[in-house]
Amino acid sequence: MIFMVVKDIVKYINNEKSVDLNSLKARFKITDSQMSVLIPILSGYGINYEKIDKVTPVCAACPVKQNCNMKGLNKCGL
Amino acid sequence: MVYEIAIIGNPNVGKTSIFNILTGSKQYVANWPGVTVEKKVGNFSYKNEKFKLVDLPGIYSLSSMSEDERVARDFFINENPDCIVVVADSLNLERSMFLALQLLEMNLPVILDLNSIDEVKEKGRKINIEYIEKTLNIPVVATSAKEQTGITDLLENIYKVSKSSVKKTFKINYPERIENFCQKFSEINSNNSKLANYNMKWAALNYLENNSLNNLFDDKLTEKINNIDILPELKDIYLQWKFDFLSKLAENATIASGRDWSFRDLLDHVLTHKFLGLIIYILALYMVFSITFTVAAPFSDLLDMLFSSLGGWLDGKIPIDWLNSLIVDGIIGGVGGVLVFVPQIFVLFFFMGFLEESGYLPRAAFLVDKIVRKFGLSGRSFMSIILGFGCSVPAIMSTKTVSNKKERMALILSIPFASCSARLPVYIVLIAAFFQNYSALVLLSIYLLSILMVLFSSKLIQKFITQTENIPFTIELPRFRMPGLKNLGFYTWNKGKHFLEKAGTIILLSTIVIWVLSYFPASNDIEHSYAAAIGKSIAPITSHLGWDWKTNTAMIFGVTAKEVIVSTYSTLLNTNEGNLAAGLSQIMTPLSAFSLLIFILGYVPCFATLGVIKSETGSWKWAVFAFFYTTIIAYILANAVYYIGGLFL
Repeated sequence: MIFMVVKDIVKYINNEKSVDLNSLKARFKITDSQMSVLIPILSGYGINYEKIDKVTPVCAACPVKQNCNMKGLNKCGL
Repeated sequence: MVYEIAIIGNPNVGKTSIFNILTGSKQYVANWPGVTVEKKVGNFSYKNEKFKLVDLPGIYSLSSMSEDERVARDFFINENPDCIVVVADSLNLERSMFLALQLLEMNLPVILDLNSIDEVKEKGRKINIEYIEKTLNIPVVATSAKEQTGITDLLENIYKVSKSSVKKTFKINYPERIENFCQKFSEINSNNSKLANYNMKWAALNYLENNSLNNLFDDKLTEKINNIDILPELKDIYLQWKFDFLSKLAENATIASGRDWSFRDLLDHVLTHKFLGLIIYILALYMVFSITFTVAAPFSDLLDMLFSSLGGWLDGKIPIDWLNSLIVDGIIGGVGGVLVFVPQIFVLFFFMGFLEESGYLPRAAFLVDKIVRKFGLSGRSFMSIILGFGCSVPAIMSTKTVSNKKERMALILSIPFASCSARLPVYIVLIAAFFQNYSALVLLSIYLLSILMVLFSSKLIQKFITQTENIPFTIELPRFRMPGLKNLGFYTWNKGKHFLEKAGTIILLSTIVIWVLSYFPASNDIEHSYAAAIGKSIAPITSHLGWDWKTNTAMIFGVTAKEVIVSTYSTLLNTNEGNLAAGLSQIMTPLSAFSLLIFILGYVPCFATLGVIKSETGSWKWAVFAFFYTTIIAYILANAVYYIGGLFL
């Protein structure tokens, strides 16, 4: 993690209408653990949870989805 | 001496469960975030010492962005508790650490409680408790509220921290620029009496982070503080430091990361499926309603027999005619007619509680998020609608956690359309009279229609509110849990007792009033009673729907509480519950009954709901608006159902 990361993330979120945590994680290479630390820190920048689309990105983070071959069943609603 | 202990943590980490275990209280704990919107207080003793335990709202930080956070922050500043228990979710430790760190920055005596430790073990994870203890210099205990383990350890630590005259504190080494800022901030504010109750270093850090205490500094002081350094830069340094510190702490505190997924994840995979999930949700509701009818029916019949026997036994034993009629026809017939639905109410709450407690309902809210967004609401709002199936009052109060004002106002005014449990006895009696073969299906359709009414109403109301704001979804999915019977019992009792309380108060009172109006002036001729006159007065606007004066009178008195509709029918038709269905089938057709069901679903919120609308919106005008708005909408829908239904039936 380099120094500017939190600031950059804040800038990115402020420029977006709504932010999905997955895209945030992928864009800034943030781990699940770091994301959990980051979320309350963002509140210091006036970004409360309302700014973040889904706090727990259930579908994309779903460990079963990676191994589920049933196409019909593998359609998450989230 | 009574020691004051505060319990705090992120939403849905098990704070209220810990609170209940420590105090022996019966506070209901819901399995979704944002249930504790106001603080609760309980007492307990340990080793001959008395403790007062305060359960604060579930929050993520003390940055005072929301009302909940302000309640908690002000409590710590004004009350200065002897010990603070920060309840953390062991499976998501990182999230709780920020709050713990903020409390340590306030120099408060903190105990970190790693709750749900059983689930950590279940996933094969291991937490280095000693490392956290040494790094933060605070006691750390591992508990499981579900299995009630670690509680003695927690009590012992609360005892030690509260009794200790020298409080352990965490010496935080911030970056040099931050330390310099704190030093200069203290010097500038040394004579600021408004900061007397505050830890100066915390006040300095708060100023940097979001300055939620800005009313404590006049213009002169603000100018001086702002000139200490380039504050936006300092803020970045400060929050980046926190991020690095907590990330490292979380990384080092995990010894084994365990398995990636468990059976709960498999359940999530299926139940949050785009289409399958919705079908399962509707099926789950259908099953709950079916069970409500089948399981509760024998108990309901038993109660009915008891009240009928009591009425029959008493009838004629009281020599004064009017008193005999009041007790037998009025009180036993009326209140008894409502009380026979106690089994249905309790069974429904039990199974709704099961869905809620297991973590299923929040998933349903997630599933419908995309749909309800089209109506200007979020999945979080959907939770309030579901809460409204129990009672509109807590449902409206729960909208406090909806930060979008436009959405909140629309919800407050639309939640009365969510079919509250008070309406259930009326549905049951009308369904028993006209739709017995499709009881669960009819009830399900009413509940689904009720959801649609809330959604469309919200959309309609938001059209008239000009404020525009993005409404992202904020709720977290709780983990699946097998609901404990004890907690389910609390849930069912807490919700159901409200019904019993109403039976002994407002329903009893209304029943007596209705009896008086139906008995006088001509005791043997109900058609010429005051009750008949009241009902007949609105006949011009209801007779085309097939509702006679008895139905009109029942509707009018149902304004006090919806259950009163049943007791009014019982009194006016002079029947108990079993015969009530037969009596009702004599005075209207199935189509009239269905349009009546729709009207009851929507019309006039009860007095308690109107009161809470006033308190939540801050104006009686909105309560008055809700009174007329819901009635007009319900009336239009009842007419639509009657005339459109008439084309097919």
